[in-house]
Amino acid sequence: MGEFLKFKALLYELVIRDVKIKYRRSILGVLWTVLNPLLMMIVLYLVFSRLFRFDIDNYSIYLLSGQVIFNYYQSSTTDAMLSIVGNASLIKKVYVPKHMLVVAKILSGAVNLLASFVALLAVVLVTGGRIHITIFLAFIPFAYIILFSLGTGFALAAVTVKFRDIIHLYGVFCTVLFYLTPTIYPISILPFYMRLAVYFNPLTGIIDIFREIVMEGSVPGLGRILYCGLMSLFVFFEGLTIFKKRQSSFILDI
Amino acid sequence: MGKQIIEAKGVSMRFNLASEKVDNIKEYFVKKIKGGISYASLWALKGVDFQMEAGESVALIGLNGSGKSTFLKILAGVLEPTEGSVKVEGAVAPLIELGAGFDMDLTARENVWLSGAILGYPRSVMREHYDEIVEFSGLQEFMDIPVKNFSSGMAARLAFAVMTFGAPDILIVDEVLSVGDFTFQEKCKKRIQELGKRGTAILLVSHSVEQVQKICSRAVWLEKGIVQMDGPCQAVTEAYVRREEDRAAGDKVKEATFDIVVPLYRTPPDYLDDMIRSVQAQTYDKWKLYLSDGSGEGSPLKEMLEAYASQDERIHIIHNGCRLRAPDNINRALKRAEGDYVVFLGHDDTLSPETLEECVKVIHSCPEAQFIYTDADKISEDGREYCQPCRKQGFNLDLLRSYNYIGRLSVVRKDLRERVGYMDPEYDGAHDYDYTVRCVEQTGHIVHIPKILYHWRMSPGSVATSTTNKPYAYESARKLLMAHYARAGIDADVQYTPYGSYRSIYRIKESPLVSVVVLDTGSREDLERCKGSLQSLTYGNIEILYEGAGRAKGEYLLFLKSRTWFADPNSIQEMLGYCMRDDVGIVGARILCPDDTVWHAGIRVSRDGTIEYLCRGVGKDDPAYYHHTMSVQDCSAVSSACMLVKRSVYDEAGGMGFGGAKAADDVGFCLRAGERGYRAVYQPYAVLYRNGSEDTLSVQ
Repeated sequence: MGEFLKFKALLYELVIRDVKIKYRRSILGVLWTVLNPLLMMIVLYLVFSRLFRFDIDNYSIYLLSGQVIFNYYQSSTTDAMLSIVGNASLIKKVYVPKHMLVVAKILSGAVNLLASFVALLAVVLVTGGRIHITIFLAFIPFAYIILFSLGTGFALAAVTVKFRDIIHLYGVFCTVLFYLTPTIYPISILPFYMRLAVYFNPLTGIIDIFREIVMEGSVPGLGRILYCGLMSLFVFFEGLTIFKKRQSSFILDI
Repeated sequence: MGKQIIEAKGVSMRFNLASEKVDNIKEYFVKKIKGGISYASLWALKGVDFQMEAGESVALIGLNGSGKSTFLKILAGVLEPTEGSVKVEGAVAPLIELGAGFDMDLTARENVWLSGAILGYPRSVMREHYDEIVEFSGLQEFMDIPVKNFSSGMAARLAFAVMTFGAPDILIVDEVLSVGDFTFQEKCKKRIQELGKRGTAILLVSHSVEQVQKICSRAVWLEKGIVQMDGPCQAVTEAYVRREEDRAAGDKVKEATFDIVVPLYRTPPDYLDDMIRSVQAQTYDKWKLYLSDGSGEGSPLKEMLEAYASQDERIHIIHNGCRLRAPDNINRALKRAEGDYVVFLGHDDTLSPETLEECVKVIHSCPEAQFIYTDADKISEDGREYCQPCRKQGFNLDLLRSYNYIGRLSVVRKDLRERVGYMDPEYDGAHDYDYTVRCVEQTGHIVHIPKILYHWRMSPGSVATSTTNKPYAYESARKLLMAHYARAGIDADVQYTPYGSYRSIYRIKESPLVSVVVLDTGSREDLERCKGSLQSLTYGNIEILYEGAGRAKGEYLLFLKSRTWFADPNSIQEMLGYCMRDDVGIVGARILCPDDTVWHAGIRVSRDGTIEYLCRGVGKDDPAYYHHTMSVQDCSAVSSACMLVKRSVYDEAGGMGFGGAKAADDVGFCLRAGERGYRAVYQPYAVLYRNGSEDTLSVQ
């Protein structure tokens, strides 16, 4: 961890690199960071609010806010998962603190996160809603989701080096997770036994907090905040441990 | 200079070579269940120690696959060693493989920022040096093109420019200099030299010996993961080149296999390690090492030995559950040896890296050699000093009977070994002497390698430190010599001498007539004194002649210069015993000057014709180099000042060509007799004094 300071220039360069490359060849460029979630929302809104009637006020915001968090989680962890194998040529030639490669992906994803947050606020205004003062508390769920993604990313990156098919398996896993997270539906429509599964899903708690801040304008309960915080920290440290244990053998498998 | 910036201790690296790459979960579990995951191990590095000081420039040379790149990667932090420790102090700029960490999708300019960040420099610093870097690489027009479109040469130039612009503490260059045109290579060399002057330590891997010699002051030669040599650049590169040339030239006789047998008895771990390492460092690799552990139950060596065996499949351990004395211990190992040649090695001694190779050279030039022995020296307890070099003669039968001058290293061919058999526990303590003697009895094809290829450790209880360390050995030696004489049909008694050697006293059953031919070379008083001393001899059957050997009737002729006189009344018997042997034609004596210094102790004639009077000037009782003067041995020639010759041999070899006195062609005569197969023996226990000034020794 002390290397962090020494290599902060590297972290900066890696994040810049990721962001640049992501949008280098695209026509719309940086605009895409905002458009992507926006377009998603439009499609989902049209599909779900017309096809399935849920009684939620402000379904579009409900949808989008879940999206913001979940998409960030999925894309940043997927990127992180590939960060070691994707940087094989670098690792094989030069010493880089390998955890930094994962951190870079998660942080560059956070740029996207912020952009989509801005998009979300724009939609709130457009649909005639109010931007509550509590949005300044958004840093809490963001911090949690970042920690959570870091932990998951570390673990995934480490395991992927040895077993490449995790990449496919994770894709499937995320799809399942999507349906086990109340992004597109309210929990209330689920039968009891399924609700348990959803409650156990750590993402649910974080999304919940975020929604409360954005939609209801109230401060979430301390209990929930602490619970989500502890869980995110737990996942972070577990993932980091798994990573650290295996990092010296990465080079032998890539 | 002087600050240590790299310290590597016992670095070993193992790679698991899976026979098929298993990289997904399903296959992994399937294989695990079927038991199909097997790893062949490759030890790319074995126990490498390495230090480097600030500002040094060191080259790593060796063949492909010797472990150089692996070692560099470990130093650069890219790989973690399987065993051992590495300490690196300072910023490392690595140029390992082309590209040095470029991201192919980024432009050259962007890669400059990225590479700089990898080295630990923020973008601001890189901006300052940007122009310098571009200038050096000569890529001004290409800086905004993605690196994936660069040629390898361009990428190398950029990489080099970026890695070397600052003043890194350590620059590691792995064969990157081989890419790029001539001007670029010159630029690189210059820059490396500049960096060196500014205090950067340079670690260079290259196949180009020229490059290495120009840039580096020190070179380390790695071969199969082991450090062969570490020293001044010139010396190491020359040795390397020579060896490679030899190897190219002599790839023919590279099939001979050597089985090295070592008896272990509570060997101290350091010595064991040194010994095994010295075997692993052999430049000729067709060997097997058989270590027989006779330390007893609960041997402290067990784990260590297993570790060695698992690391190197050429090492075989024989665990004996009980304590074994040396001969039995060696025999356990000998039983397993089936190689073309057996090599005997002591458990705390070491070999030179070229030992086996030298043996192979000998085998190549003398294919009939069945027994090979080399010179040796001693190595101090801590392994730092080599001392007491023992330069041995070519094969000398009678010297061997005086003491085991052959010693170590000895190498025995399979067919000879099968005839000689095993060590005899009867002669514990001198079992190797016995083995050597029995080998010599069975063959005449004995070759001596006049190079020091064996290092005998002077550990406290060892005979290397003091010959009195194993008293039971003397009795064993005496017994074995008696047995040897019995087998050879020689009736002799063996006694100890105060020098740790053995004296054989031949018992003569008859008393043949000895014609004493006195050569009148001195004054009247000399002649009188000589006659007088002849009277004092205890051997009765002599006739004395003064006019040459023409009328001699005896079976044996004793030439005597009149200026000598006998110091030991039994001299004739001493000489006669040897002269009566079928293989001996001539026997000489120890001749002293009146001041009790040696005048004659055998004559050596070298191939270029130089004649040397051995040990001249040495004190009477001083045993001299390895007690030469007091040991019976074969020589090229002996002086006619006192020479006992078989009559038949005298006639056969054409006599000494003198009718009545003066400088006789004694050396020439002895050589002629030697050509006909008759030995000349020096017998120190026949003692005479000699009067007079130095003779002019103009004998050709």
